[in-house]
Amino acid sequence: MNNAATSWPKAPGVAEAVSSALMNRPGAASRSGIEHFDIFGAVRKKMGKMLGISAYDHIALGNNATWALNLAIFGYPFKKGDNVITTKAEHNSVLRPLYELERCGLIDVTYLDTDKAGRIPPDKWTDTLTQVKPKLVIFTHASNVTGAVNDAKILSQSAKSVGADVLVDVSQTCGWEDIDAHAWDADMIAFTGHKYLLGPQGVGGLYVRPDLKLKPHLIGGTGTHSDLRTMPDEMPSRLEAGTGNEPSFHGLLAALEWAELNPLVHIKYHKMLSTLREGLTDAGAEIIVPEGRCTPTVSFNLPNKSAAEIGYILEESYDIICRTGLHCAPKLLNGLGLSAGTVRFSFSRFTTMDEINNVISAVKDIANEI
Amino acid sequence: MKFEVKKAENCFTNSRSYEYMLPIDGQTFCTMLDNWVVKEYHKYRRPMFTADKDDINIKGILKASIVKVSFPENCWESEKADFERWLTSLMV
Repeated sequence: MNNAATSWPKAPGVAEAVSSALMNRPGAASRSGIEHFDIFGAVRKKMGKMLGISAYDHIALGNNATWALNLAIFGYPFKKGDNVITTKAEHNSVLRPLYELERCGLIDVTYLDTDKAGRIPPDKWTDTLTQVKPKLVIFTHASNVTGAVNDAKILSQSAKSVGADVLVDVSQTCGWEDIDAHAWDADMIAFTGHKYLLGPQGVGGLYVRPDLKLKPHLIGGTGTHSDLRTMPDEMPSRLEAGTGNEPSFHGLLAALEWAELNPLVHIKYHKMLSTLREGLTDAGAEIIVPEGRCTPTVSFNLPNKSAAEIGYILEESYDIICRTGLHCAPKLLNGLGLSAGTVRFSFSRFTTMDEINNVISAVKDIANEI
Repeated sequence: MKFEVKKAENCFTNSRSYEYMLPIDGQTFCTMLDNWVVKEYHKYRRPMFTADKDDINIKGILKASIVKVSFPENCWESEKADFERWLTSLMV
């Protein structure tokens, strides 16, 4: 029940693909011709299709969404005094790079409040855009705490209307919700492969609009243009220093191929989510219930029991793995008056209704012992 | 009593939690917790206990030998050192 952190189990075929890649001869820059399978190119094509991006060679592949967001934020061509708008729902992978640029005096950041469900209110967003006139906006497609999905198209297009560039963090939605960078008119999209894409840890990426040139945040070997003293100009090499995680990207490719053959049917999971919410409410839990679209995530507390203790009991007494605390989103928890943290359940395509019922039963046991 | 200790990572504000592996199970450990407020929970699938004293909290499964201890943020280093001295002094 901790899939919003890292999915488990992985999609069928992922482990075999990683293993096979490790057992076979690795790829190399000197064998990158037509006859040789280019795993990174294959993943870029699949991810381009999934993200609504035709210029898939402008997707840089790396370790995770944190890597991608650091590349985007530290590489963005800010000028001193530029304004940035982001939201209090963001993960520390967005907040901490922004704090660093604020600390250096490079940018001013506005952190927009969310509603009580962790969703970005479009009207406040638009008002703030008009007042601040940002150079860049950054927002998450869905809250990792409450699961509330934002209307990325409206948020992105209203930001474009005031001339801002748009960076969207789709870590919590990629593989669960539709993403369409083209329709959103997004300039950058950061994703990870190990959550709802059901791939291995250690894979993620950043799409960058073809005419937006980021300064490379990591500098090193690219296997090409070795005579240059700087990173090559062309994407994706410009942002991909060092040897890539080839075995794990084979795993991600297997996950993407499996997902194509097994499209997600949301209706089944709506029933699970409503069962989980109702069961937790019956148990006396105080849960955050966003209206509208949600990822399969529920945050809650029980009266008179700390989130830490609930998490401990679930894991040690019931073998139920969940996440407790601030979920790396401290501004949101503080904004919601939950600075002591919450317990978060997040299920996946492989979770069963029996497992949901077991989770509810365990929470009822805990509530009844208080 | 000999023990092993390891930092327990978590995502709470001001949290200093450590896991201790003891040579005894939780049930036996509970009998040594004089002056602590000890509560046992027997309805859980694996029964557990909590013990509290001076803002130090211990949690453990009664039939397991690993306990989790949270120390108060403002003086966690001295409280941890005192706790470990006390653990070491226990005769098993």
